[in-house]
Amino acid sequence: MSDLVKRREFLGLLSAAGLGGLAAAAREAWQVESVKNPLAVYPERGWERVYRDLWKYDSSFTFTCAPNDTHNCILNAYVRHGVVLRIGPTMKYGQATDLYGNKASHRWDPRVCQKGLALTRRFYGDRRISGCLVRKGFKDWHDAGFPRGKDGLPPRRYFQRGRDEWLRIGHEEAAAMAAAALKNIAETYSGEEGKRRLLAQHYEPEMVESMGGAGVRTMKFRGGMPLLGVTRVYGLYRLANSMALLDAKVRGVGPEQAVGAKGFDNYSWHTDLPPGHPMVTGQQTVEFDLNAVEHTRLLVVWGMNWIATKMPDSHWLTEARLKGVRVVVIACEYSATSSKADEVIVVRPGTTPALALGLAHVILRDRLYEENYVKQWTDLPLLVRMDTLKYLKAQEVFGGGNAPLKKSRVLARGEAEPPPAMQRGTVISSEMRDEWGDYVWWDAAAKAPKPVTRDMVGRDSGVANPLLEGAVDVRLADGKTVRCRPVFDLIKEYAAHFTPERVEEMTWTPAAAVESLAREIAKDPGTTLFAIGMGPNQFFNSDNKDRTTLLVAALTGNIGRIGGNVGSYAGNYRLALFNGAPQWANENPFDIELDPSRPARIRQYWRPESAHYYNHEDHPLRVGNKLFTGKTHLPAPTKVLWFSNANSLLGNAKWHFNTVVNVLPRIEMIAASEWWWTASCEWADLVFGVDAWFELKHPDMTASPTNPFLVVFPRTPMERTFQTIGDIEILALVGERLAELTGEPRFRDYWKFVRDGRTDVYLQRILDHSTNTKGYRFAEVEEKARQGIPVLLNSRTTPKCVGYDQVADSTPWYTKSGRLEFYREEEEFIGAGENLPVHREPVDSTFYEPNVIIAPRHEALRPEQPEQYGVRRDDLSCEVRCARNVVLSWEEARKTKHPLLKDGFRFIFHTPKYRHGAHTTPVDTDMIAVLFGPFGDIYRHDKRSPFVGEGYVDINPSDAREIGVEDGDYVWIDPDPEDRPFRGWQGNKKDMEFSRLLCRVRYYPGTPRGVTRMWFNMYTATPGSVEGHKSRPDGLAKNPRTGYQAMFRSGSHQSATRGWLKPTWMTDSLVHKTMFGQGLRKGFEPDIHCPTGAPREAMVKISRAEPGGLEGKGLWRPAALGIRPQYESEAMKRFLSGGFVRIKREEKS
Amino acid sequence: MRVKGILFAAALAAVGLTSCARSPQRAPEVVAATVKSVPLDPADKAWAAAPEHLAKLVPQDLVEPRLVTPTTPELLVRALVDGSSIAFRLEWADEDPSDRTGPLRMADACAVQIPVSREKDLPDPQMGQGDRAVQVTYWRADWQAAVDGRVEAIADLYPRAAVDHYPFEAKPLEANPAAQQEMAGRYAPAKILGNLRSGPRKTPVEPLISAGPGTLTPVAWQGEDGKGVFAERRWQVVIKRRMPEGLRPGDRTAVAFAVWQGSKQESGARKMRTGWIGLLWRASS
Amino acid sequence: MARVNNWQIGREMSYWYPESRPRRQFAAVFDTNKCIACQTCTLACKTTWTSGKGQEYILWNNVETKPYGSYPLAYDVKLLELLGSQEWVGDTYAGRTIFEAAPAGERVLGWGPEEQDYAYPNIGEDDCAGQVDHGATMALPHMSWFFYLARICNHCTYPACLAACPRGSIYKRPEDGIVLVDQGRCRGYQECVRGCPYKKVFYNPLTGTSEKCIACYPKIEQGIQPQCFVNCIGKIRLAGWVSTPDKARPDNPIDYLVHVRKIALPLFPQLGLEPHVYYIPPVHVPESFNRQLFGPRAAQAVKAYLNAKNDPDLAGLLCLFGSTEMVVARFKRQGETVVGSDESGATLVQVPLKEPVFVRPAFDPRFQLIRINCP
Repeated sequence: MSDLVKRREFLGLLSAAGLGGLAAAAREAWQVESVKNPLAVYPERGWERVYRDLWKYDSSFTFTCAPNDTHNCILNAYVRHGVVLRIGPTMKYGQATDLYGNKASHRWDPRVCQKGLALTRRFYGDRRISGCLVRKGFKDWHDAGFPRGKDGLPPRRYFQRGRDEWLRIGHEEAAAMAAAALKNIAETYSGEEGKRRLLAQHYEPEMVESMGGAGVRTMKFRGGMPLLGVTRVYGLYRLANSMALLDAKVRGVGPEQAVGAKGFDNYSWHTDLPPGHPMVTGQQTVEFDLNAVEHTRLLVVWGMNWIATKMPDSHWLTEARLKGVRVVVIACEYSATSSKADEVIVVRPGTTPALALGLAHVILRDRLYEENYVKQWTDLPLLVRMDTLKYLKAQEVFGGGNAPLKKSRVLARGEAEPPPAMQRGTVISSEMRDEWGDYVWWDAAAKAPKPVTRDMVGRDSGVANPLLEGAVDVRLADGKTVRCRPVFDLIKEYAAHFTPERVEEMTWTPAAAVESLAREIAKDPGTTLFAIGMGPNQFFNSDNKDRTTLLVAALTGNIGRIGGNVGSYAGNYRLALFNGAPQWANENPFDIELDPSRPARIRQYWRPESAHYYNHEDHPLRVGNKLFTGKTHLPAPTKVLWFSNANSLLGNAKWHFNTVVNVLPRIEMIAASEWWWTASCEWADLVFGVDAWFELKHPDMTASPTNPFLVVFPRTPMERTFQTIGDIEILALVGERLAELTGEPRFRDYWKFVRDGRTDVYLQRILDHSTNTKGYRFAEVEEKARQGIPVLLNSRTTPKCVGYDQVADSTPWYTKSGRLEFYREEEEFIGAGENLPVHREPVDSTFYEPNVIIAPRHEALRPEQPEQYGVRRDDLSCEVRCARNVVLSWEEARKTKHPLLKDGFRFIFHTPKYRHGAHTTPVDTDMIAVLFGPFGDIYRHDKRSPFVGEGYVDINPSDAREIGVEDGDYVWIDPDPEDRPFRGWQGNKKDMEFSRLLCRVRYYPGTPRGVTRMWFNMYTATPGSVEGHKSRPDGLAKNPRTGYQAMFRSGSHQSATRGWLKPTWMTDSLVHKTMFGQGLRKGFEPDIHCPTGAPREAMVKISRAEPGGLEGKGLWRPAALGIRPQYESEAMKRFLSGGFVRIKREEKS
Repeated sequence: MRVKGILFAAALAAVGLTSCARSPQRAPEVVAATVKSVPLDPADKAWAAAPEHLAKLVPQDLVEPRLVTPTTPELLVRALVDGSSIAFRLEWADEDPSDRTGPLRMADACAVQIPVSREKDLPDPQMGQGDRAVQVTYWRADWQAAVDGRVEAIADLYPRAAVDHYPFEAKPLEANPAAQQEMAGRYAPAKILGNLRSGPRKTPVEPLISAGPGTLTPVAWQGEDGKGVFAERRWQVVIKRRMPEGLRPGDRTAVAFAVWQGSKQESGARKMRTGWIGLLWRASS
Repeated sequence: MARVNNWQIGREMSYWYPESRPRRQFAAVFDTNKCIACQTCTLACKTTWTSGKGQEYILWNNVETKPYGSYPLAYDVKLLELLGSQEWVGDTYAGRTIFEAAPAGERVLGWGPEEQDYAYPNIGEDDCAGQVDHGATMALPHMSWFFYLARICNHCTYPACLAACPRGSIYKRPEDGIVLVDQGRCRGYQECVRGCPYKKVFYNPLTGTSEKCIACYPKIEQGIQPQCFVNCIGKIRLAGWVSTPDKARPDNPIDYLVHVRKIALPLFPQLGLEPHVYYIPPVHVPESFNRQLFGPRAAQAVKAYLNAKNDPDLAGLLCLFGSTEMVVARFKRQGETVVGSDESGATLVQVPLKEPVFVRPAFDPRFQLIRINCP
């Protein structure tokens, strides 16, 4: 009998029983019989409409998500009732084309990540900045007319940053306030009186001198990673340039004498710059777009957590591997990327140069190097004078003048350099040309010296049969004879100290692995890609790391080839991809082009500066009686900080707590443009609430060093959600106010096309003047972006491959010799004992004496010793340590100890980046935080957790056991008490309360003993977050006044870090390509030759604070459940061994 | 018709005997006294007018999933009628009361079951049978808490939860309450489908009909109501419903009860239940 | 209980309802070797389907690190322990399934997670088995290891949730095999939560009902892959239709990987549900662990994967993953190109096995400038 019949019958019964109403009710409701077999039939499926309805949306549009992670994804946003419901990939990268008809494939799709999908929660979340805010004390100072003491400093009472109240004001008023402060500060610190005040405030005389009497030089502007927004982010530097107008007013000088403000660096401030790359290649960085791995044989991923930090491009690695590319991962742990490797090597942190020298040694010892590459492309055959330790110059031997150059353009004296896009070949000033001259190699066949010019590279090298090993006496033109040795010979002798056995002791890499890896790399020249990451780069010996790894690559012909190259990965840098960007930032503010169809006239009034000096207590590096910071690098005192699009300059700065406690008090205005309340906002005076990516009303554009796309931020149809305006409109508004304040109309004109809603005019100027984008119409590129399609950069190659141009066309590198230079002849390098590519022990993260040079006695190593600049050899204090050039053989060094070991500071503490954040974006979002590591709990069962996820330290279980710490406990982590978390903490409870690091500990079997790790991405504690954690009933570490949400109860991963300054990062003599175009320069250049800070180094002491169990009682639940490492229940042990399943093979009869 | 009547009476007599066996001072069956209007409050004096019946509970062991280990052993029942409604006062001991639901967290509950028709043989005491349906009135402790004013919200279940965003609470919707409600509904499918689990609720009870295990079905309200109070480690719950169809003073029908102990993860088929018990409408003396 | 055929365990078994297969069965292949645990799938699902109140803790899709990761806590260890030792004889499972091992009074062998078992959804992230120490070097398989396991509902042929529901509120759609909880009929008994061994049904305390992965049927109905597939940047996922072994088509990508190449394997086949998310096992993990999760064919699957470099059809198909949002029903390789098409054979997408290299002229006469990689 069918269900239906039964049902009718039953309802009939009901009515028979006079239950009409009930029958009706039953009929409306579910049929009153069981569902017989829902596997087969289900009677009523109308309800399914509800999920179809949830899927529906009214409309969709595209926007670009570009935190500083190099991926730059154009995303679809899906809208219903005016709300962005959800976000997704456009799936249209596979339609990207260039000017030549080349097309990317859909293997580039999808481009998106969890952080992008979580953005809806930030667009509308409670920390979204909904307007402009000013700190009450700052407003009072402004309203009182900027009162100051005799030394020029404002009264302390106005500057209770981080604890003060905030007031909501309009953008107009905020801009007016900022303009007034800029004017007042410029006036205060200009001229003789300004100089007197700054000296009274105890700034180095050299710093004050460097300002040339211009108060505007105390203003430091920074657009975080300009490539991430070539107009709205790079615009901060245009603002800095316009300060020349203010200087002209304040000092009453003309356009010729006026100077602009200062602009902070980016790539180098983030410790992303590999500082040794320019030392070898003469330009910013060698690297390759990540899809190049499809075209190699061997991929060496070295200190890079590729699958965690290059997520949308991880499939290139896994897909290349499945097609046969061998993947070797070298890391100081079993990393996420190690789990994708064919071979895994776990090394001691900070020993990359030693490992590279070990590889070089094997390659040199067994003559595995590619001789042609060595002869054609490197300085290894060039002779070095043993008397001066400088390159032997052709003029010294053969007399006469410099050889004429075909491949480089030598400018006549006073001749201006052509704009970047107009340049052909390297551009050199005649002064430089005269200074360098030409070089000499020794012809082993002819037994005679031979000259070589920077034209003679690649197929034109002419270096046929050079003497590579041994010494020669060379007779000079003046009749003198000098002993000379080829660079090859000097390096081979040095590298010989790094035998596989010693390298095993130094780096933990088994000798056999060193031997085999060297052979694997050398096996087939030009078919190994080295993907080198932030791990090694954030150590003090980062330039040694670059010079030694590039050496290995050069010896095996692996620089400048599609399938054989080196990459250094971090940060979305190389603004030079738009080398016409000066059209925007450097337009002459005294001579503004108001015709949209005409190019701007360029004059750079602003001067760059490394933010590391501000971070370094606003001082250069002075040790004993010597200033180690080169003249070209000298910073000015910092009175204004103005930044946008970045939490890195302040909120997540290395040595953060020292910066906020000891540096900020001398700064008089901190202004930030943001759309989400960060720790930087917590410490600011003025916060301009700006449009989020999905609301942009002014288009912008970006590109990337790791993929081939030019990506536009399209204008979106989305209405503004709050009282915000565009970042770039803030700049225009400030210009407006300055124009009124100073009566200088050019302040207003400078932003004309922004005010007219025609920012695209500036973008088109950039496209027209950039080498690889000329030919694109911005309107067309933006229209494509609206459809979700990017375009390809018209680089020489796709994938981009830096060095390809040199190798393929035999054009010179951007060095003096035109070759890859592994020897550095400049005084600073000779003095530092780094004229050779040496290994230095880490400056802090080592169990041995920090920062010693590991070397045998060597004829060419004659570094300056501590005594020579007036400090004691046994002084290992942090500052002095930076400039110590003590040389020890490994046999001597291994007997030494880090000075803090005896006091229990026995753990290396490193702070890498992880998959859950692009820097700090958007880790403080609920759905991201809850998945960030093992302590996520959206319902926060444990009141102590600062948020729904929290910062934690990973420690080797055996180490944890030894110090009596259980999995999941809260611990205190204390760094070197000399100067961290901040200098003077001993007498300062009030600030120590939010600075001392308190966090969860996780038993982590993947990190070797002695090495602890804390992810870099978390939101730091602030005075307000600590107040919230202690006062709120729910215990959230959330500032009651600002809503700022910390992910630590106190302190942060930056409690243990600091900025370390290395002399070789601060020379006046290093020659390198300038940022834009092909011209060569000397000395400081932001993001190319300047400090990078070594923020990954610290030795810490770890001590138990509280048990991990709920509310501090007993074991953390998962440990108690027996499912954690070292706590395994019997069942868990069985599971780990695969013991639940047995397989009997069928016995064949 | 007659025959059926006899059978019916006989069945009830049998039930009555078993239930009065151990405590003679109590009524052997559920005897409903007549009052002017039935009270909803378990503490109401009027309940004194009704004799108390002690009902033994047995584990539901007829269909999977069964309740294997017995929990709540017994139940005290009183009943009052006022001509249009009948109210039952159920009382049982609960050492570990539960008035919330969550993952593997069940709420205490109880139910009264009465056959649709007195004209036919009694169906199985377990949710009725194909052609012999039963009416069920179901009370749940978490609904009671809601009716008593507890907000059904995450902040209430998890006071320390920190959630950044719900799409239906985004700023742009503040201006548009209608759209806001629509959106909220979409993210609560059971709710827009009118599933009573999701509330909102006027009463802590739900009227249902059933014709065998797995067929329980909500029906339209006809004055059903209830009130539960937890005091001295005991639940005292009043379940009020309309009079069984055609029941006159002096008539008998049958009733069965079920109790779910939330703290023991009892829900659905995992419950303690009675067999059929006689229900006599005592003519007012 | 009825007797039904389960091809994944090579035998008949008992199930609450008689065998009844849908006209088409939704299925997926996940390549664990490509998974990067980025959780984009998790967020894609979360922001689309479970952003409501009472769903905060619910992850229809999650990614856990094996062996120490699990969501809810220890869901797998607990069940394997309940089930006891599980023996295969060749490709036939000789042990008991959770239906056969159901205790008296129960429909399936199950257990119910407590509230706190849903905390720490990414516990064990990157925790490896075996401690790493100084100078560790590893080749395949790794002596210390972990791998990422992305999980959604398996839309099983024999769903335990469906069997466990006492009122038949859970059903399997005949047109695509997607298993759904009827949100109108569910009374929140949580029998399904107890019953599902993968713990992919969740109780929502504010709707009072149990909710689960719907395989994005509103998208599948339009021939579009689910959210967690389209958003997968590891490109580990491919959604489609799986046949029973006897009806396998080599040009159906799922059939090809599951039946022809036998490289994609079900998760915990021994439980008896005939789950339809098929995993390519991790090549760096010890066989003993792989076969505990993926059954007796794990070792051959690893071998086949490591041989993909000599197997352009396989390599090609794996490079097609994630290149289109449409459901790819057919595929073929033409030299260096792989083509995905729908049932009618209409091309949906085609990609090269190797992304090509473009070299532009060093000097562009049209724009009178150089093309250079360090501009």
